[in-house]
Amino acid sequence: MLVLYLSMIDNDNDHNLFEKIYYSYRKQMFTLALSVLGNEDDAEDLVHDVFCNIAEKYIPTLQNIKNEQDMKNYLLKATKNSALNKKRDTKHSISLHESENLLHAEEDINDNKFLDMICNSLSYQEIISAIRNLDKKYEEVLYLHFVVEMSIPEVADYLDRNKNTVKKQLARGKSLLLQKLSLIGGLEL
Amino acid sequence: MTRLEVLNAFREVASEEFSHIPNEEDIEYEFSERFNNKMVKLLKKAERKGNYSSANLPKRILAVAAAIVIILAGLMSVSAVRETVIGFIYEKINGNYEIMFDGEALDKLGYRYSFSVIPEGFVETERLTQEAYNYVRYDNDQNNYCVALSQSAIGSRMSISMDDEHGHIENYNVNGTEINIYIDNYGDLYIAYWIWGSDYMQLVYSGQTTIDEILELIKTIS
Repeated sequence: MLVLYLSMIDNDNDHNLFEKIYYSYRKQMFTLALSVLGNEDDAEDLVHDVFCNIAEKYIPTLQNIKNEQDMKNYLLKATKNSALNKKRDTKHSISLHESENLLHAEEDINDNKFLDMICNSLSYQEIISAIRNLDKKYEEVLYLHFVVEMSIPEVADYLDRNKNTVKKQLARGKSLLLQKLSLIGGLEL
Repeated sequence: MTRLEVLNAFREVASEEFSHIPNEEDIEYEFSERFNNKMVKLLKKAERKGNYSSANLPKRILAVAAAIVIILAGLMSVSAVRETVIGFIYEKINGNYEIMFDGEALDKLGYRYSFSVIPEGFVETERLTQEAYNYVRYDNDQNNYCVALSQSAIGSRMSISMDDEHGHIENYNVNGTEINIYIDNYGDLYIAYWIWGSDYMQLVYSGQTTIDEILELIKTIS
């Protein structure tokens, strides 16, 4: 007799991941949301909204994150950004995003060249110090792009920013970091 | 310094932003019942999405279903005399429905069945025609649903098993034919199978629908 198996249920990876992150980070996400919104009901709603977003769009991205710390950072950044967006006046938020587009066009340094320049000449502590001194908006774009390995459109979607804005922030972030490390010329900003 | 160390530097600084957040196990907070209820629903939805609703999964399901029938057709021994097909025998073994059916093998299909009416919104995306096997698939790009109909000449003493952990089988009668339908626990995967003459028929519907609609769809096959 020939026995064949119809494997309709392929695997539960997506669901397992979703459940894992929910039980691993929900309280930390809530705590962070509460610190921004100051209200338990709003903070719970926000955590729920973040998980809805994840279930809807970001499971494939999360599947690619192998480092536990990056997973935590990703979820907490998503929570913080959502909380700030909720709190912030929408009009102000738009004007902030639009203001990024007023940045002067920055010469974009190739990603590999950028990493090589840093690798070749500096100590770990010097780099830590330079990254700490970057404006947060550049630091988080650099982190998401280089460490979490998200593309520019993915970062833009995740941070709720315009793609061109993120592209400019990435180019400017690279340039500013190299300037802070005195690896290229330019004004210390 | 290595690239890995550079990336670690970015990671370290990024993590500092949340260093004031206590560890999960140290946070003593009981979520409200309203929140827990919403999350239970979301987790169930995610489970369904994880199991069945990702964009690629229906294709995989249909590919597997199609592959099985192709294998069956390919392994059939050939008989010159058509005998009555015994039908389906069910057994539950190790969490699977074992579905067996008997009959003398034929080397080719006689009449080839097809839908007389294509479900609204679906367009044909795949067709495979062999002597002992027929397969056609339709997709609906609006909702990512798909439906596939296959017909194969039945081989001798073959069986298929289906996982019973995530679904169950129901039996219906359509114009005197016993129709068996495997339904997943979330109601978005239906596999209907039945025997017409000496042919094994299978209809796979991936998407939200109802048994009545599946049965109506079967009635349009001629």
